Amino acid sequence: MPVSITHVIGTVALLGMLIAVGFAFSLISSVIEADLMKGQLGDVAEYVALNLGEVISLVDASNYPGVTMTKAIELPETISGKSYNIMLLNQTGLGCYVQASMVSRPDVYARSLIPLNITGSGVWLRDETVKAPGSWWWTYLGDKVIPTNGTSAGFRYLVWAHWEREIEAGLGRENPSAG
Amino acid sequence: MHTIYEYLFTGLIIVAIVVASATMLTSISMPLKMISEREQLKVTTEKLLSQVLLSTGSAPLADGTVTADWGRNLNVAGADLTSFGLAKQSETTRESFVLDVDKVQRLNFSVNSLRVEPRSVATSLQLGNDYGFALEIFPVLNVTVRPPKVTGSSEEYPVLVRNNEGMPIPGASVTAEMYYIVNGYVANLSASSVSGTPKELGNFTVSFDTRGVSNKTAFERSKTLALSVDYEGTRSIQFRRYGTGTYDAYVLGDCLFHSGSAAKSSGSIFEVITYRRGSSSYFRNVTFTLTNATTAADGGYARYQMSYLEPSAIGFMFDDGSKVWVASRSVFFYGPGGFSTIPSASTFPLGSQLQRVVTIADQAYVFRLYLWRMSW
Repeated sequence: MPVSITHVIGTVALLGMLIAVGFAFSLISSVIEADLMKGQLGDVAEYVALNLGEVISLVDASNYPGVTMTKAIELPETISGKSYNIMLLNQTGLGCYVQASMVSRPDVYARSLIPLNITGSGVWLRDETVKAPGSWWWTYLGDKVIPTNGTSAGFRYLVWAHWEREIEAGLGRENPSAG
Repeated sequence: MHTIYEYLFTGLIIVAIVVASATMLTSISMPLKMISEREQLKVTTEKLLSQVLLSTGSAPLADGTVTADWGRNLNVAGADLTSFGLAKQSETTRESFVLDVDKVQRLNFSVNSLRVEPRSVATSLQLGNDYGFALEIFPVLNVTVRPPKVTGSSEEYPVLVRNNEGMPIPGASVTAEMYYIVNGYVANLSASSVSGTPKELGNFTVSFDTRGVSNKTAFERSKTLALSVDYEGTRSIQFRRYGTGTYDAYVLGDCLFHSGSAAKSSGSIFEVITYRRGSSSYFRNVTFTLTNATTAADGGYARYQMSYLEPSAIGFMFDDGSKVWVASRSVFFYGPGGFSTIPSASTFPLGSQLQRVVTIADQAYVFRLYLWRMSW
């Protein structure tokens, strides 16, 4: 009888420990996975920031009011099999950033600076909700580009910049319904 | 009692397996993370290079406006820059990778108050304390002028033309003029011959016949060599002083600076300009006036205002009676001591490096950017 009680205690303790170390292991692997996802998000954010910075510089160099430039970019459909978002941030006093974050885990994100100027003034990053066709964005982007915020699988994305009194820039996707 | 030991031993084995697995996971993920960070550093370098070469940069002025032509504006200090870029400002569409000579010269300008420090650049590029960087700018054509051989009525200047890998450039076109000041006027002496010695190895000898020089004393005091090397549309120009009475001066915008105090309140400035015809370059000189001699804000330098600055001027000469001041529009900084956030370092830290060929004052230069993380 005393032997079987020892076995019961030992087995319960082992099970408890298994659950505890399993939980600890999943926590560790989740931190490592988040770290790797952050790296991939950082790659995407840097890539978008590079291309956005280039079209902004080219529009600025054109010195021609009303000019719009777009550049196609290749974005991965998912990161580690999961959806992600791209946001353009213009934080007063901090400058302009591209932020990429996981949809399921908003705490996992990476930012990349668009090195335009210290104050972020003079450049208007379009990161609000997509406007309806016919609104002023569409006037200069035409019907081939849909301004967008975030990514979805199966679309071709581009960065765009437009110069009027100041530079407006944003992320867009090709409009599949346009010819 | 033995049974408990068995369970404890089993538990220990499970913990050891989990710890080993976690360690393996971390060690497997580390190289992937490092690769990703290196790739990001490369993209960041490319991003910064585009910003520096394609953007004009900007600085606010006292009247509330913002100027993109901040290089020649002497009221703009380095710390005033709100964004950093070296592209040449233009009223019409700008040419890509054409840099403003005044903005570039600001990076290692002799007058402290007008120099743009690496820290100011890092701040305006928003690099913070995360990154360090260095810039190198040097001519595409590596032109070396060796000490002249003076024999009687002839002066011979050996010129070596190489590319940046040290390979000779045999087919280059070399043009040279010697400028000197006599009785308050500038005179020039064209090269009597440019011969290859041997030309196939990129070695040239530029010879001047000094028999026609009427005032040898003035010639020896102020002689300055203007040398242009052209190769397949790529050009490198040097304006080197050889006269015994010549000293270095500096030009920024339409102002001339020299060390010490102004000996004259005004005078004549001789600007040497260059133009191309076919595959060769030619020199001309024009005369304008210098006025408003003042002392530069941080002392130690005299400052003159030029009545006009020729856009294609490559060299300047000013005789104040006691000294002949010579300024050139050429740019050169190389190595960690050139323009770097850690000028005291003997080598650049491990990081990313990217270069482009740019045009500055109608000459071809290599513009190289080094970027490294301050911590990984």
